[in-house]
Amino acid sequence: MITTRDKLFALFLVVATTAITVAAAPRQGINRDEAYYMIAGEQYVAYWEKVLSGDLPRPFSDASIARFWEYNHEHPPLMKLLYGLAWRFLHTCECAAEREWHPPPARLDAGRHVTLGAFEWESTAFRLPTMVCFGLLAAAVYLFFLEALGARFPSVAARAGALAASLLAVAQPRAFFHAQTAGFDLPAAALWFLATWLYWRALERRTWRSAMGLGLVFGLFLATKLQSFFLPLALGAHWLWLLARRRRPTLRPIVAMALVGPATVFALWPWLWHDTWRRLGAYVGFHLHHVHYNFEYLGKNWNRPPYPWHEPLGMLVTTAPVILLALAAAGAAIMAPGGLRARPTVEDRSTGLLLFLSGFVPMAPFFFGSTPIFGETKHWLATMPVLALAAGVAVAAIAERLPDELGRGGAGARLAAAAALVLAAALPAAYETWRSHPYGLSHYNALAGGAPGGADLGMNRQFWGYSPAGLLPWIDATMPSNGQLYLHDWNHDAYVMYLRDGRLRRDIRDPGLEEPAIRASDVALVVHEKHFNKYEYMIWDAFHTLRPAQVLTLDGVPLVTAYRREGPK
Amino acid sequence: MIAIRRPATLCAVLIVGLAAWEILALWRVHADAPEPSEWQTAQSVVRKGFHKGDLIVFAPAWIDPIGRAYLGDLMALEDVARNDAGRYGRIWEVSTRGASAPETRGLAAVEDADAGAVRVRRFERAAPRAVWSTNDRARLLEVAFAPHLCVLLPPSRDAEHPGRLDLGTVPLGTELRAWGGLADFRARKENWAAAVVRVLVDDKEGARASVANDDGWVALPPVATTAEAHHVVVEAWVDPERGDPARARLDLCVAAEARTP
Repeated sequence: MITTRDKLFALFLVVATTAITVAAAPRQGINRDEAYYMIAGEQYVAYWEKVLSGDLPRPFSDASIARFWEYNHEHPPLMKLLYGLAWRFLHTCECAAEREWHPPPARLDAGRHVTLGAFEWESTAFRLPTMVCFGLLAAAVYLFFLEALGARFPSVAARAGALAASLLAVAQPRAFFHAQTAGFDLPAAALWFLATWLYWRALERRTWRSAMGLGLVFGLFLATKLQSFFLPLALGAHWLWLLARRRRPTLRPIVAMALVGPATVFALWPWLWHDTWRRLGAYVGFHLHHVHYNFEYLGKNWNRPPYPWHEPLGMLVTTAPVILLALAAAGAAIMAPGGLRARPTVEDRSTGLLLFLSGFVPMAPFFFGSTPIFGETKHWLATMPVLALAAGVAVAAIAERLPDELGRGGAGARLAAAAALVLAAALPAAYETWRSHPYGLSHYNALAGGAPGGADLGMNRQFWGYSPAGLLPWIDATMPSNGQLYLHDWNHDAYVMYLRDGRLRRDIRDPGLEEPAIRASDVALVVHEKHFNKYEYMIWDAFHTLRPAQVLTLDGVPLVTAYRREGPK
Repeated sequence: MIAIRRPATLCAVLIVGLAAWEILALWRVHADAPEPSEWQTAQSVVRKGFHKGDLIVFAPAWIDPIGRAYLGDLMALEDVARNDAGRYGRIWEVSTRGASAPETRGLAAVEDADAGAVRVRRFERAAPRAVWSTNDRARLLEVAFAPHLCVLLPPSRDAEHPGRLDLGTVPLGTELRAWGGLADFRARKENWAAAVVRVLVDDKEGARASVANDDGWVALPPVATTAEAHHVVVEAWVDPERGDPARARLDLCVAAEARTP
């Protein structure tokens, strides 16, 4: 079903999606987590550079490894290493002259890195691997649709469905936000989807080669983020279902995941090469006992369980493009057993069930009410490509029948109908994504009433402290010489990255945290989240004013408020 | 069951309709956001009629930072961190998106001005005046995610020996009001208990209430008093009947105000 033209088109989707995301990324602020991952990436790539150049004595000793890899060992290394590699090859900096802004193990004593200098800002170079993952996700959704679902439809309708699915997988404000970060959530979603696809293929091909491909991708996923631990639940449940239905599923994919997966993560993560079990236990333990952050949902600030079971559904319904939700519901009805348009099964792999499990399991832990919900939608981003596939099924089904109903069955009419449907499906989602940028985490959909509707509903305004980037020009223009800027939720490492990028005046200083920092500052920021209100009151008290100097908004909703000290400290 | 003759056509029409609605709805949200010029107009309406002691409120509440950027110099900390709006005779409500503030509920506007997407309304009523309050010893704290000027009163574990805030002998009016709430979101996160707050006037209990994490800024029942000096004490202890008293982290903050017509 997949032709060479399809593969070329998929390649175009990779390039176009990546290019659009690269072009958009500089407007989006650096969030708390990605600042840590950028530092980690720089250290990790410095390790390999020193190992390969012979500059590191006893490179595989615990001491040498720990010097570079102990930092941020609570998360697996793959994406951080890729961020480091992208930065190492593509950045532009005066790294020796600015050595105090770089992590100590990676500092240059003299000279500068030899690079391709593709990006003016170091942060964009760091972020590139996630953007490529986003492009790969778009292509994977397109190709998977054709391979797994396209046979149900005529050629043009199938491609309309595949393209709609692909576009709807990426034209989502929150997915687009995460695609521009040096964070793990979008890559994790892409790897979840890719592993599901390879598992589905391996069931049919029944070869060790295809199973090993799955094992390798699962290993890359294990080396990316903890969500990988849940993938075997989805695939395992599906495999057992096939077994119970006497479909005689091959065991090879399961074996490959069990063997190649852990071996891959071990090979990629030097931190585990010494004291392996203890460090692995510490990694898992960190997440099992993860701190519960604050999260506003339906007017209440939640920071400890029990959480409302419906929170993931509430966030899904108010943040995903409405057109995606509606089409996905229609597509699911079409695909469901005994659905509106049930067809004889063309294969025996229970593809619909696999997609259901692949979409449901990422969200499932949040229905129990005990899992921290600090990441709002990001921890189940892998659900979204599955919804997009279901939406694609709806588009394909309509595209198949529409020309006949209109009495225009010619090839041109079929193409025109398919194109119009894809446009109608993708345009609102794309518009919504464009409008939300660069504040995707503050976006709420038309059902919620946009960002103001989200604020009315008492939904999480934002998190990760990335939005102050919208005030950088004002800060540069306002701050006194060598002034102190209270960063609030914008963290120190992100501040350093803005200095490195040259986006923040280099004489501006960070006075630190909490009330002493506010009292020492000349300009103080408060990033609006419900639980952060107290910081605004501290600023009133320290600055003796209730009047902000600047308020950054999205569609009239305050995101960041800045105060300028008028009197003496 | 009704058979639809052209289901694909119907679906296509629905998709196009939904797409158009979604785009227009979000475009409208963007277009409806007030412009700075509209805020400027609203500001000038308020400034023109503002009297010292007036209360300015914003609706919906989340526009508050924007409103203060234009009108913050007219607002006093005691007003923004008020216990309630009961003692304000003149209230300016600056609103967007058709919202109204809880402080103006049930009141009729005596002035109503549209500044594009921003609406300014003024309300007047007969209101009592405050003759005494705890503001002079209070500090600004976050209680229920809102600012409050209040006095920290650590509750005791034992109701027999309560935490005690002796406010001295103070001039009261016809009504003594008291409030209490749990300060600081971090403390509330660690707290699983509630506090009992009791107001004593001349050693007699006037009012009491129980305050827990999600109760917000709790108004105790008003205490009728005579307009002369009285000895006022506020007491607090861990409520043995609510939550888990063994896991108490109660940053209780209280305020009191005497009012007279």
